[in-house]
Amino acid sequence: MKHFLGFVVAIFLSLTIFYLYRDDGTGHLSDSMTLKVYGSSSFIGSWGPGPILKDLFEKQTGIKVTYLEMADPALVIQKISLEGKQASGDVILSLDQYDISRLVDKIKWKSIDSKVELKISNQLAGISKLDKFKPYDWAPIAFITRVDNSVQIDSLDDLLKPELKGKIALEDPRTSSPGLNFLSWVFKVKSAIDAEKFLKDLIGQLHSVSPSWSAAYGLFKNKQVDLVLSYATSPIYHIVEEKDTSYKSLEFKEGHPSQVEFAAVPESCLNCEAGIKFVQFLQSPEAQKIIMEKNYMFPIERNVQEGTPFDSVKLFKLLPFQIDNKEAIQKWLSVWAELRKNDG
Amino acid sequence: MSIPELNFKEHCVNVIVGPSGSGKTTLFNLMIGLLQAQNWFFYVGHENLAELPIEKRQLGVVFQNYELFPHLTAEENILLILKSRHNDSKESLAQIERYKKQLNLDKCWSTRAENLSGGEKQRVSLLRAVMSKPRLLLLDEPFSALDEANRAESREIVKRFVADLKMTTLLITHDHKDVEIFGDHVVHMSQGHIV
Amino acid sequence: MMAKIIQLGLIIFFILPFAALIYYFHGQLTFDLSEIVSALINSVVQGFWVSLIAVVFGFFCSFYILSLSSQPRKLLQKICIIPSVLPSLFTILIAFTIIQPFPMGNVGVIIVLAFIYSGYILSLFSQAIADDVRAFLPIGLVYGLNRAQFYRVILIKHGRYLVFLALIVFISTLTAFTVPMIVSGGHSRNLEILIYEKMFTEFKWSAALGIGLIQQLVIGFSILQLSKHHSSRAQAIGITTETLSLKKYSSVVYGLAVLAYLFSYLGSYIYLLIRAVQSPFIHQVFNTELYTAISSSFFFFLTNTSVFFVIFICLLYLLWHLKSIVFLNFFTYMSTMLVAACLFFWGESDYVFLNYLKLSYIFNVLFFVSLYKLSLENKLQDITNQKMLSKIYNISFSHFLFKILFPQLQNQFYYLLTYLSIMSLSEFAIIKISGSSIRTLGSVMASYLSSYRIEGAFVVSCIMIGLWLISTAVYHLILSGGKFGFNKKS
Repeated sequence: MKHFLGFVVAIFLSLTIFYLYRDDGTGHLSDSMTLKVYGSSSFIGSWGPGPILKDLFEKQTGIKVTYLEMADPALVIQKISLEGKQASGDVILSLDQYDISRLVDKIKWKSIDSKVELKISNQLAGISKLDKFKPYDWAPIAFITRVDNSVQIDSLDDLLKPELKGKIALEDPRTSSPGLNFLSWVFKVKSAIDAEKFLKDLIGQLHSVSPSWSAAYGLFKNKQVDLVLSYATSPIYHIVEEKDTSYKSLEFKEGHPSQVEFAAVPESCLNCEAGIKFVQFLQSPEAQKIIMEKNYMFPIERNVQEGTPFDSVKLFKLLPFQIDNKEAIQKWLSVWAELRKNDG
Repeated sequence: MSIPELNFKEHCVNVIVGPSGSGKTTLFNLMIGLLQAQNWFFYVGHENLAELPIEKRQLGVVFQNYELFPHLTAEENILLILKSRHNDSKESLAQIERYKKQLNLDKCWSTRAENLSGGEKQRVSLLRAVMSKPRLLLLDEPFSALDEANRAESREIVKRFVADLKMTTLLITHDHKDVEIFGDHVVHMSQGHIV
Repeated sequence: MMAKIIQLGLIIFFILPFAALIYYFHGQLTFDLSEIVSALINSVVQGFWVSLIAVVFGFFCSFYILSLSSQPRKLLQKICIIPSVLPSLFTILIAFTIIQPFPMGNVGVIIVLAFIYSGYILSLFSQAIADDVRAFLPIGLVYGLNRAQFYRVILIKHGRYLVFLALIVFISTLTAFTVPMIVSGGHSRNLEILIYEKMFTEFKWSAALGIGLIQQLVIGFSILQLSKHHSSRAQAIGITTETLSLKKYSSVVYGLAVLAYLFSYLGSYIYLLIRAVQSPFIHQVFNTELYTAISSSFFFFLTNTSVFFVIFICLLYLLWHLKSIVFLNFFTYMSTMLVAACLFFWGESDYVFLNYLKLSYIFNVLFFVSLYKLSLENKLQDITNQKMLSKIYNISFSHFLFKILFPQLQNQFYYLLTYLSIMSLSEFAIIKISGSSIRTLGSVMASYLSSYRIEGAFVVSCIMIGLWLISTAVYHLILSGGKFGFNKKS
C-alpha cells in the first residue's frame, strides 16, 4: 500500500514539475524567432518534405518552425475564424484550389510577393496571379492500375465497363481532395445531365468510396481493387522507393484536371513576416526539389525536375486550371450527396 | 413485518429464532441501520436508535460471514476498530490480551484474516465487536458458517465469554440448538411477526 | 449535503460537453429523419449481427477455455481481450490481410467488429460461469446430462448475463467509429459516421448535435434499464478459479475456433510486423517526433490517471454515503465525435499542462464509466459489507479508503493502470477531432496510416505494445511492493 501511495505521490510530483517546467516555447506573446505552420500529415510527417524544409529554413533564417498537423484545412480555418486574434498558426499549407474557393472569404489573408520568377506549365498559367495563395507543387489527377491489368481504359466512360465492376476505389469528394477533383472533372467534361447519369452508374460500379486518399490507396495496394484514383505521379514513388515498376497511371482522352497545393498566411498570424518568408521559401529551387522528391508531385518551378525521374513522366493532356466558384462546387457536392444518400 | 412491541433483557443473551423468511434478518438490518423504515422505534436506554445514522448507533456486530478485513491480521482488525471508536486506551489493550487468551486466539493473532479458519474468524469477529464497547451486541447466525464439530466448541467459548462480560446481546438464529445453549430470553418469529 | 454536491458535480462533469455545444449553437438542433433512420438501420443491423456472433462464439468457446488447466486458461482469457483493447486499426489491417478480397460495407464492418468483441465476450463469460460450471459438473457427470442439457443448465443461471454482454456489444457497435469509417467503404454509415459527416464534411453542427443527442438518449436509457435488471456479478479479471475437468461438455471444434481466432489475430500481426521491419524506410520512424510522442503519451497517461482517480474518489464518497450511482450508467457510452468536438471549440491554451488536462477531461468523460465497470465495480460490490461494517464501527472515510479499500484493490488497480496505459498510448481520435497539437503514439500511428505508410504504423504499434508491456511490469512491481504475484485473494 505504501508503494502505491508513493506511486500516487510520484504522479502528482511529476504533474507539478510538468506544470512548472514543461514549456515547449509556445508562449503567449509572439516571438519573432518562431513560426507555426499547419500542414497535412503527409507533408509534416517524418517521411514527408516537412522536416528537411524545416531544417533548411531554420538554418537560412534562424527562425524556429513548429509544425501543427491538420486533419483538414477547413477545420483549421474554422478554428482560426473562431479563435480570431488568439488563433495560433502563421502559415497554412496543403490548401488546394477547392479550399481556396470555399474558404477564401472565411478569414482574411496576407498578400505575398513571389520572390522567384516561376517557370510554370502553360495549363497552370493562372495560378501565379494569385497574390494571397502561393503554389508549391501540383500533379494531374489520374487513375492508377497495375501494368498487368488488361482492361482497356482510356476515358471516363471506360470506368463503366462490366469487367471493372467492384474493382474501383474512389475517394469521397466531401472529405478528399482527389475525390472532389474527380467530381469536378466529370462535371467539366460532361453536361450536367450526363455527368449525373455517369456518376449514378459509376457508384454502382465502385468497390468502395473511401474517406481519404490513403484508405483508397491502401485498398489498391492490398489488391482489394484494380484501380484507384490518385495522382499521375504515384507510380514514380513505387519505382524510386520500392524499385517496383508494376504500376502505371492511365491517360484519359478527355484530359486530366490538376491538383495544385498552395500555402498562405492568415491575417491573424502572430509572426506574419516569418510566415511570408516561409511561403516564399517554398517556391525557392532548393525547397522545390525537396518537395518534389518527398511529396512525389511535380514542382511548380519546372526547371527543378529536369534530369530527374519526374522528367520522364509522360505529360498528360491537362484541362485548363481554374478556381471554380463555390456555388458550382456546392452544386456538384449536392448531386453527389443525393446520389449517395440511399446507398447504405 | 409487524412487531407491535419487543423488549429485550439486559446483560444477557436474547435469542431471536425463526425459520428462513421469518423476518429475523430484516429485523437485524433494521436495528443496524442497513434498512430504513418509517414509524418504528428502537430504544436502547433512553435513546431511540432508529433516528440515528449507522455510525452513531454504537453497536457491535458479528455478521454471518464475519466480514473481517481480509488483508489485515486478526490483531489489526481489532485495533482498527478500537481506534475508530476511540477506545485504544491502555486498559483496552490490556483487556484485549486477556480476551485473546480466553478465546484461544494467541496462535492466529498475527495471521491475516483471509487465512484464518472459520472458528478463528468467528472469535476474532466477536472480540472485535466486544472491544468496540457497544451499547448492544448483535450476532447474526454466528455459527451457521461452521461445521458441526467446530460449532459445538464455538458455542461453548462464546457462551462463557458473553456470560463473563454480561453484555446485552441479541443472537439471531434459525438453529434450535443455539436456543438451548444460549436461551436466557427467547423470541420466536414467523412471517414477520412475533409468535 | 456534501454527497449531494458531489453527485451533482459528477452529473455536470459528464454532461458539460453536450451543454457546451448546445450553448455554443444557441440551442439549435436539427433533424433529418430519413438520414437518421437510414443510419440507425445500419447501426442496428451491424449491432445485431456482431453481438450474435460474439455471443455464440463466447458461449460455446467458454467451455473449451474452462476445460483447460489453470495457467493456460488464465493466459487465454487475457489474450482474448487483446483485440478489444488494442486500437481497432490493427484489427482492420489484419482483416484486410486475412480476407482478400475484403467485403466492404455492412458485412465488412460486422466481420471486423465481431473479431474484436468475440474474444472480449469469451473472456468475461468464461470467468462468470466458472464457479457454476464447477459446481454443476459433478451433477452432470453423475446423472449423465448430455451437452445440450448441461448448456441449458448454465444458460438458465447465466442467460441474463449473456444477454447483458450481448447488449453491451450491441451498443458498442452502435457507437463504433473507426471501423465503420474505414471498412464501410462509404456505404453502410452508422449514426456515429453520420455525426462525423455532419460536423466535418457538411459543417452542419446543429444537425450533428441533434443526432448525437438522440443517440445518447437512446443508449443512455437502454443502459439504465439494463443496469436495473442485471447485477453484474461476473468476476473481475484476474480472480483465480480452480481447474475444471470439462472435456465431456467441451469440444475440439470450440478449441479450434479459439485457436483460429487467436492465431489469425496474433499471427497476422506478427506477419505484418515482420514485413514492416524489413522495409528499407524503417529507420526513418525513429526520429524526434517519435520520442516526443512517447513523452507526450506518458504525460497524457499521468493526467488521465489523475483525473480518473479524482472522479473515482468522488464516486467512493457517494458510495460511502449510500448515494445511488446508477445515474453513471447513462454515461457508459458517449459519442466520441460530439464530446471531443466540444474541445475543438474550447480551443488550445498557451499552457501545455492545461491542454493535457482538457484532453484528459474529455478522455474521462468518454471512458471513466466503462473503465470503472471493467476494472473496479465488481470488487466494490463484493466488499459492500466491509463498507457497512466500517460505518458501523465509525471508521472514517479516509481510513476506509487507505486502510481497508485500497489495499484490497491491488489487482483491480493493476488492471486499471494497464487499460489506462494502452488507451493513453494509442489515443488519437480525441486528439484528431479536437484539433489538439499534442501527439501520442496513437496519433503518430494514425498519421502513418493516413499517408499509407503501413510499415511505419506497424513499427510504431510494436513500440506502443512494448512500452505498454514494460509499464504493466512496472505497475506490477509497484503494486506488489517489489515482489512478484499479488495477494491472491485481493
